[in-house]
Amino acid sequence: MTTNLDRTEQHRKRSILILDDEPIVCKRLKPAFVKAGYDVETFTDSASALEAFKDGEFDIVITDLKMEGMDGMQFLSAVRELRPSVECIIITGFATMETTKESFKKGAYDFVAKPFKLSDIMDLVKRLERERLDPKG
Amino acid sequence: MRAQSSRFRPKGPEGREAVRSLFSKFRRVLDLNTRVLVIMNEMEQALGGEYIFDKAYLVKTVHEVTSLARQVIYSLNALAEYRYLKLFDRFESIRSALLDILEGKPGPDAGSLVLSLDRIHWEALPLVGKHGVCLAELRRQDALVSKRPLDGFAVTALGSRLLADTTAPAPKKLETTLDQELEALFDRLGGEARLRLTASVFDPEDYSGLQAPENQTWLRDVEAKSFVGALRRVLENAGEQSSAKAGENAGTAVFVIAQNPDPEAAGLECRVRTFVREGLMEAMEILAGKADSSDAPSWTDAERWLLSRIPPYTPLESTIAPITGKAALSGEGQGNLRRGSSLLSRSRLGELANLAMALEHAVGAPVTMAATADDKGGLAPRNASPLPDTRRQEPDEQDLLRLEEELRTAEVLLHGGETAQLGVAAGRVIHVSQDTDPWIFPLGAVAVSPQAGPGLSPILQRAAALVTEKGGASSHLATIAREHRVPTIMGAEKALSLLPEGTEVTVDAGEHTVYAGVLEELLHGHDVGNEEFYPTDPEYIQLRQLLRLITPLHLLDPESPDFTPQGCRSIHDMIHFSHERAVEELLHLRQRRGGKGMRHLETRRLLLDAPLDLWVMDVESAVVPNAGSDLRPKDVDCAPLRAFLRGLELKEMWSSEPAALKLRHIFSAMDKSVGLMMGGSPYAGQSLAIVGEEYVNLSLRLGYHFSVVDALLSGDANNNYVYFRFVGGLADTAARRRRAELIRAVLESMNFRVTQQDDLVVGKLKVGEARAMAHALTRIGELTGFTRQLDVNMASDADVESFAALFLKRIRDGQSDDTGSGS
Repeated sequence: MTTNLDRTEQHRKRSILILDDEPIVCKRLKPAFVKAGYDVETFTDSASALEAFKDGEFDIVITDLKMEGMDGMQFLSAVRELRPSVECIIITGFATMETTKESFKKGAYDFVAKPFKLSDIMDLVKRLERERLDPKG
Repeated sequence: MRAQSSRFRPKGPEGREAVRSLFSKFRRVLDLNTRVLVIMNEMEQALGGEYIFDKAYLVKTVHEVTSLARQVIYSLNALAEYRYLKLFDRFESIRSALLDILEGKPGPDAGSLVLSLDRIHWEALPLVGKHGVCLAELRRQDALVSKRPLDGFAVTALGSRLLADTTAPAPKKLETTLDQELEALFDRLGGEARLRLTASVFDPEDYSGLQAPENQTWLRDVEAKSFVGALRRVLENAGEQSSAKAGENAGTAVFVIAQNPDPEAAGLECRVRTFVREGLMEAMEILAGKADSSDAPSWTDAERWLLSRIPPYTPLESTIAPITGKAALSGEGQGNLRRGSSLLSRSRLGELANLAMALEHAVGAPVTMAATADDKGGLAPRNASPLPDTRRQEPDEQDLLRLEEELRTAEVLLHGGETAQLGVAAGRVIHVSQDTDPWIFPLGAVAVSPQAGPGLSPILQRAAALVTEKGGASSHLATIAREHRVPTIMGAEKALSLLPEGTEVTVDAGEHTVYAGVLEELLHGHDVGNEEFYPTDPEYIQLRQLLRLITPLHLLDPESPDFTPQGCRSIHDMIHFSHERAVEELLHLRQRRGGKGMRHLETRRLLLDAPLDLWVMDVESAVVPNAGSDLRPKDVDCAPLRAFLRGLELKEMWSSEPAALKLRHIFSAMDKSVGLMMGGSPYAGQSLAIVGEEYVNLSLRLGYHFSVVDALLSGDANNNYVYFRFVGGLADTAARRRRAELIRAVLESMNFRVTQQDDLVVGKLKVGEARAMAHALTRIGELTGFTRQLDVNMASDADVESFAALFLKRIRDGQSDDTGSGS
């Protein structure tokens, strides 16, 4: 398992908030990101996730779309409003052209259809960091 | 044979249109089949842990695969004049069972009253509880190292409920099933044996964190005639002692396990707990002691070992009790105490550790295992249960720093290939092939193979990890790796040279990486929470339940009486059945449709450099527009036909020596096989090729033998196949059979799946890149030329081998490409 070998004293650990109403998704994503050197918190309901987001300092949000109560699109809008600098990735098993377009309109960095490879989402987060959080030059 | 008129003029285009329509339906069966196979493959790969998915994915996928399967069955029936309507009934039955599983209802085994250990997998959890699943996995692991493994069966929660009602006699069906299982068990053991009965109370919905069974009772020397009574007594004891914690949904299963086959052998009782924590130390514990008179081991004075949980399971601590001897030690004068002699040797410790850790890996959580080590070197596991999982669920900062440092300095031996099953494991590298005897493969070693054929399955089950140079995540071997959760990397180039035999390595299948040495922090990482997909996850069990009804292929032999719609037990069976029957429909097109349009089809003669009168029917515009009335091979843009003709026209293959014909040969040719394949057709005496750009169906007549070649060569390897059928000949039965054996041997060398019955040979090659399939077709073309009239020269069985060698020599002389490879 690769780890975040690029950590230096100047960089604090990146913090990721994962929201998915299916516990299995959170259960499997968290250890992978923790081992890769991220601080991770997971939630299965959007209300708790939003409260935690308000209190915390998350750099990246990974959220499901279809959930009871506040769905992923609303959650995306809410967190971007609270902190416009936060970067968001959408994960969903119900990918359509409309939801993809809407996600990007609301400021999502990328959109991933389930099922997805663990390595793919890890690579996506690294790409997000390179392009948005640690841009060169 | 003098050529007939070179063009058979049709009366109208209807016949050709009819064939094209049939061909289009056939292609639809193929295309839909491929889509179902792709989805099945994705579902299987999901089990391997590389993909993150949720319940919504399972629902969506099941609906998709059943919808496509229904369309396959519809297309088959449209092609075959609705001869297979019963397949719809079978489909609805399987579809209902799949929807039940999605709704959380028990799977197809839900009504089982008794299950043998071999039939118990994680899907049976609601029927037998975790203890039952643990016992079944123990049997599987024991079977890898013992010729007489642990054996027995379980009375499920449903069966136990019926038995527990003592106000009525046991239902007849249950008694009959119990008798059958008992008889089958004694048959396997070679005679009656002592049985141990254990009851286990469990919560059928408790998936998370394994718990030890609350109640165990056992009896000795149970005789068959009092068997039901003994089961009832065990259940009664379990009922009295059951804990209120089990809840109102509690079930009770009873396990009937055959005792150690040699009760007279002096034994050492051993107990392994694969995870214990003492202070900061996390280790595996092994206890060993003599059994007391009640046959229940006493651990008070037992020898105790703490071993590392990482291979090679190095001892960390031991407590060895002094052994009192009967006589004073000579020369010492210190009485008769011996110190320092352990009951368990290092190799015996290793055996116990290997078996227990393999069981832990199979179960997905720590376990406790009881075994008897006899004084003849045997080790007989007797029982196993899950342990409460007290492993930490998340790594702390120190764990991560140590892991980072370890990976930074680790030597990477190999990086590449594809993950078939996630996981990390360590062991010594052993190079294997399909010919390696699995019994000499050390349990827990890392297997490295050039190929990835299904013949490696027995070795895979014994390995800590597998690395192959060929193959991929969608191969059959990958499916087996996922079934047994063996970390596997496939398609890793140069694995054999990069991983020398004897090297200690750590395989991280998820990262497609093999490191030199045993990386303890990486391995330890599995004790502190990881991203793998475990049997303790409900989605894992649900996916397995679904896969059991979707992916297994039970119908293998189209000639078998079970190859019927009613014989289909899975979605895969149904699409496979449909595919086979669709191919058969085209193969017998001329016989079945001769009066319905075949007569009106245009054919043109193909001029060849071989003594074959071949006519071409074009169903997909494969013939170039400006071709003449007689065709040359270059006029037919059909890849599979061209590949076949490359071999057929090889001059070295056609024997110029006259066959040693005798009168008896001619008489012997007049038998039933002669008219079978060409009965009554207007093309009798000629050979016919139905061609499309990627497809060919060849009916070949060469003298007195008949061949059919049906092949598809497309850009999608999953679609491609070559089918070859050969029958007939001029010589006597024995000689024709020898030629068939020669053909079979050559086909098998190209990885065809072959069946032979006397002079009938049927070979199939499925799923492969177009280039490899083309090689196979060229070889079949060569074989067609080579074996013409060969039967009359095959006077003895030794001729099979000598002519096979001659065939290969002629290939080399003709400088043919001999690199055909199979599926």
